[in-house]
Amino acid sequence: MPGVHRTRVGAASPKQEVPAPDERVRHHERKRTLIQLATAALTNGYVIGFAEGKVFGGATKAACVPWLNCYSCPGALGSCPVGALQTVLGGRGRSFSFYVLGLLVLFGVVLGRLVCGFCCPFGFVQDLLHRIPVPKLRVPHRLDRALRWLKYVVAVVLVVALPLVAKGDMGQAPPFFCAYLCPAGTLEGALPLMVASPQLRALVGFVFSWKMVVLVCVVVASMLVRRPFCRYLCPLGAFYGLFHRVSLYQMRLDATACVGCHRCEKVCPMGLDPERELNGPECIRCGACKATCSTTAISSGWELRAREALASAPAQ
Amino acid sequence: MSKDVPKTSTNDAATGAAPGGFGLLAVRVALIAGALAAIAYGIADGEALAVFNKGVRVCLECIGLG
Repeated sequence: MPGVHRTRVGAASPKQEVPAPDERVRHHERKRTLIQLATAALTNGYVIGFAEGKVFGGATKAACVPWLNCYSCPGALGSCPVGALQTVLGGRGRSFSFYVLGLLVLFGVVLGRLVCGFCCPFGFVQDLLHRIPVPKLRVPHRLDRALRWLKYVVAVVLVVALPLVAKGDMGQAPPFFCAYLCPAGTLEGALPLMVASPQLRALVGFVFSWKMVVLVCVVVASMLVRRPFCRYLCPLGAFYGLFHRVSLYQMRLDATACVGCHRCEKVCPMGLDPERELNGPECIRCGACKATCSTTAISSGWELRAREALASAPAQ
Repeated sequence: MSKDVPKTSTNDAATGAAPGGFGLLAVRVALIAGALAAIAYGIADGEALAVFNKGVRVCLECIGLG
């Protein structure tokens, strides 16, 4: 049967026919792409904003979406949690944000980095860019591991520390991450607004040029390396990674079923070795490893209490 | 296995997997409850309004014009 091979699937179904790993990966990636597309469309559904060059002003803007989504995107129906955190921390008379941090902890516990794998529009853009057929780059392991710490520096310095300490005469600080680094803001907010608004185009200066350079660098890097912004720069991914032990959605590896073929390592978009780093802070729960696993040793699912319950469940 | 690092197992804390049982449940429930309480306090303190006020205007800093 084309595209299908026989393999052992756990003890309960020794001769069950399952699609070949490559076919499973393609099917999984199609499903994930649809979810990413739907999420981006649903949370950026204010179409009039793109046409008129203005942002949505409804009540939902008081709430943050769980992923990086610039609230100056003309279509954005909610606010970006990273931008919102900087706004509150950098606001007059405030030094802590119960509201935004509460939302981030809630998202971190319930979803964790599943957000990165399935929902984040900028992660989706990076996934699409990596499909462009150009030669791919393999970042040397030591350099890759060292660069991953950058996102924690970005989170602490640009998102938290500077908005708290660099307040001006008016007692307010700019959102440093948004202002000087965030390529999602340039792509989702600046470019659509510039296209629609001649007044904004007239204001373009050095900072915009700098942000365009950052965006171009991230775009080129995304074609060469999978998810470079998520790996090295995203402060939201860094924060959600802190919840990798407790988030409700967990990946699992049945070590007794793993044959050590390393297929999972080859398909991991974050460049991880799932045999050792499944569920770690860098794992975005995209499920590529699960889809490619020839013995279905990798499974995933939601859990509240007992991990054993998931272990005994069949792979999804 | 060519690597000397052990594979992730379902209960392997060294690789990031949390232990099962009541302790994990308690941590999750405590975090969710704390988060909900913080959200409620933040809303009452006007933080949601600050986020709204920022979100409904074009953020010039975010688009590189500020």
